[in-house]
Amino acid sequence: MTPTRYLLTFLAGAVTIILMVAAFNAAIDPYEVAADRWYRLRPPGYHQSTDFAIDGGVTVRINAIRRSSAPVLLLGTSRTQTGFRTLPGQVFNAGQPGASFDDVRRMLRAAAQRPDPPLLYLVELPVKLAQYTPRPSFEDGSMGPFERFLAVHTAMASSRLAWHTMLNSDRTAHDFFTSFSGEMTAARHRRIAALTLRNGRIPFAGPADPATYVPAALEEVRRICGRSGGRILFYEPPAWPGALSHPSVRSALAIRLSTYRAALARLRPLPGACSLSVLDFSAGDAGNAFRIPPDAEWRDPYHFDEEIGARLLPILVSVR
Amino acid sequence: MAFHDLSFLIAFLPAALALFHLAQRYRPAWKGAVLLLASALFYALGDPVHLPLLAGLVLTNFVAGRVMLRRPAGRGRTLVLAAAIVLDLAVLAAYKYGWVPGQGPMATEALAVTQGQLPLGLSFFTLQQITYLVDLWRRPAPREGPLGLVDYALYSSFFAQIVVGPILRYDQAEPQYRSLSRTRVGAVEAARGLSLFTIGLTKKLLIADSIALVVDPAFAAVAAGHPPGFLEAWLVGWAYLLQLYFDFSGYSDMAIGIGIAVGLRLPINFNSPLKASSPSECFDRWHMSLVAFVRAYLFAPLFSFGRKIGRGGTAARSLRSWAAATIVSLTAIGWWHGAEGTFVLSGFLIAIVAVGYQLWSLALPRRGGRSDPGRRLGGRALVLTGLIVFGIFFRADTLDTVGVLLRSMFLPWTAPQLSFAAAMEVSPPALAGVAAGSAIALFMPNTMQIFGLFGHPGAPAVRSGPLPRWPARFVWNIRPAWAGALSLLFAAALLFAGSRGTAPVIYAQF
Repeated sequence: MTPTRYLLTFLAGAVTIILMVAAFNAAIDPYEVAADRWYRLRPPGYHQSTDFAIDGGVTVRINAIRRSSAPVLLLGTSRTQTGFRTLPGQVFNAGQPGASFDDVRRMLRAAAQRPDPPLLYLVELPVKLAQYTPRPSFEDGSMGPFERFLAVHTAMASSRLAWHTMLNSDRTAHDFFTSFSGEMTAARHRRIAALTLRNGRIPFAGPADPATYVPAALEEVRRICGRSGGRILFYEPPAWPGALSHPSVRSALAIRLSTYRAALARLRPLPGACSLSVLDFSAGDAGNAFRIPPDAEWRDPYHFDEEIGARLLPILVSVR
Repeated sequence: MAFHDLSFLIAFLPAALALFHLAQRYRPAWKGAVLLLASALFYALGDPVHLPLLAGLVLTNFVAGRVMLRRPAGRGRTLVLAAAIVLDLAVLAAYKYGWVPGQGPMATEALAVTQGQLPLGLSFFTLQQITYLVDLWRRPAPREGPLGLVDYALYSSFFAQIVVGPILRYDQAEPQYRSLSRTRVGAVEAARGLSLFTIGLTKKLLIADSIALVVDPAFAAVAAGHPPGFLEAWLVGWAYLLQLYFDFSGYSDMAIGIGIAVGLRLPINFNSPLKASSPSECFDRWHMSLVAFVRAYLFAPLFSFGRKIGRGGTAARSLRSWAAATIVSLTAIGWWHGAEGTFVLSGFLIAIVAVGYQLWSLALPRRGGRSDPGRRLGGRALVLTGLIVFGIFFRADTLDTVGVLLRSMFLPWTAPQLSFAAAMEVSPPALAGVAAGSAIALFMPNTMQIFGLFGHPGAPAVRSGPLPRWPARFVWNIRPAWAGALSLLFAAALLFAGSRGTAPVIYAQF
């Protein structure tokens, strides 16, 4: 082989591989940027593999929210994602693992821009106000053509999607369920709970800089609500009673709730039929309309099972 | 801009090489100027604020060199040398350590602006200026004149080595740069250079940056108060050592590869240091260009001076002088990395270990000789342990973190057993990086052996003995298998380069 041919082979090989990766990512489109394009290989809609994309699946969820016509929208973290079974056409579950208030606001904006915006937004009370490292997105320009077509994380998300689509192994459409691996036995549950609490992984810690961030964030939520009408209900989802027995957990939770309620109370009057409220279902309902069964299954101290979610959802929907 | 940035890989480097080869074809005399312009552009894109400073220092040192050569050897020449070196070191000290003469190691308000904004590559640039000045000072009488301004400016600022070296001594550089316009770079050199560059890029992006996924959370967990267990501490230390080695040696390979592609032989910087079987052998294999600099310009003068003073016979004075010069030199290396306690202490401790090991070796009766398997094994264990400890000093932000890790490593029964593993998440790519890195560093031939770089400064003149059969398969040559494999690696590296999560070059901070 001559040196010139070596160089040409090297360059041509690299270019070919890169073009193949780009074509693969364009065809699978894990971010649903080109949901209606002819070259897209898979049907539009959420698939849990999109959670592995670099934006955490936010773009896919936003696109799915825009296509949905359900009058009730569930927003929040994996607690929402795994705790509620959706009712197609009625309730749209857009819970996202690790979602922050920023992610929730983006989805709220997208939903409010629908021709028929939701009548009720059920928002898990945000714990994480913003990502430590802001999630990239196509909307704000932090993701460009390279991320869409060539980035390693895009290729990995595309590979997962292609594999599962071929196997037809997971739900598609706008069913956002995912599943935890392994059976949650009582012993395993206690072990995980103890470890989680000892390591200080308490997701009730108060928001950073609550004096400025929360009021500003809620003001935007108020504007979104006012543009589209409807009601927005912030709620604290159920938590494992063993976690709530810790004084530090209880006090952190109380601080969070009071911070949001105080910020809401200082908001300007809401326009139209829009209303915002904060409810606490962490230990059930004070009025006993919703009780957490003592023998209920828990995925972990902070992820309730569908059984609990099925009891809670009608109460949330009926709140006035 | 760094070598692993997408803009460098798909725009800057191809354009620079294309222009270079166009100049070679139509205007060979312009090759140096083309590379100089590319280097200026590279620096302007990376650190535009300090480009005038760099240009000023290049000019100042160039003039100082010329002034020295006009004077005969003696006090006048020495004064010029001293003044120029003091100026270079003063600029470095002001930026790196925030020092103001007469005020001690304190940052004034004015210098607070400079501190924390170390000009790109200033540490390596300064050392190359010192070699230029000292090598000219040592010339007894003018032979052939030194490099002209363009070639000298290129030598000082060549984009392939300005950021993290390797450090090319002026005496080794002068004949290469002088003949640059006449040297013809063919397709073989271009192929070898790009192939070596690809290997370096792979080491940096696919191995070092993958290992960083476990190292960074681990050190953060320790700093946040989660001390590791015995095995965890050793694994974390080993992982960081691998990350440091592949990050820096990968960058060195990229620099040398670019040099080959334009007809320059840059010094070898690494020769499988993790395979060393004694501390002195490790110094001969790790960051070789810096060690060569310190040996030639600090250790040797100190040793020569020290041998002449003090009491006792020649052997005793030589031994004392060697020990003192070693301690000063290695402490200075630690200090060159940074004025923080972790760096200075690491240099000093390495010096103590090196001196102690050598004295112990001298005191022991020689039974099996240097090839004694027991001695080699013990030496390797000592070297790897020393490098792991050095790496911890290097990486840790505070001495507290160093203390926690060393305690877990050497006094595990005293360390509290808390939940370190739960405080960090280890991803499969990180584990794969550690596994691959371990195998490559401990068992595979290095790039000097693979690409036959034995004529480069710092490398053995010839391959030291035939390679055993199976590593010989890894000697690079112009074959389709190599072209295909490297194109795959280059494509993978390019995809990683544009993805989030690439780490900055560790040595670029110095």
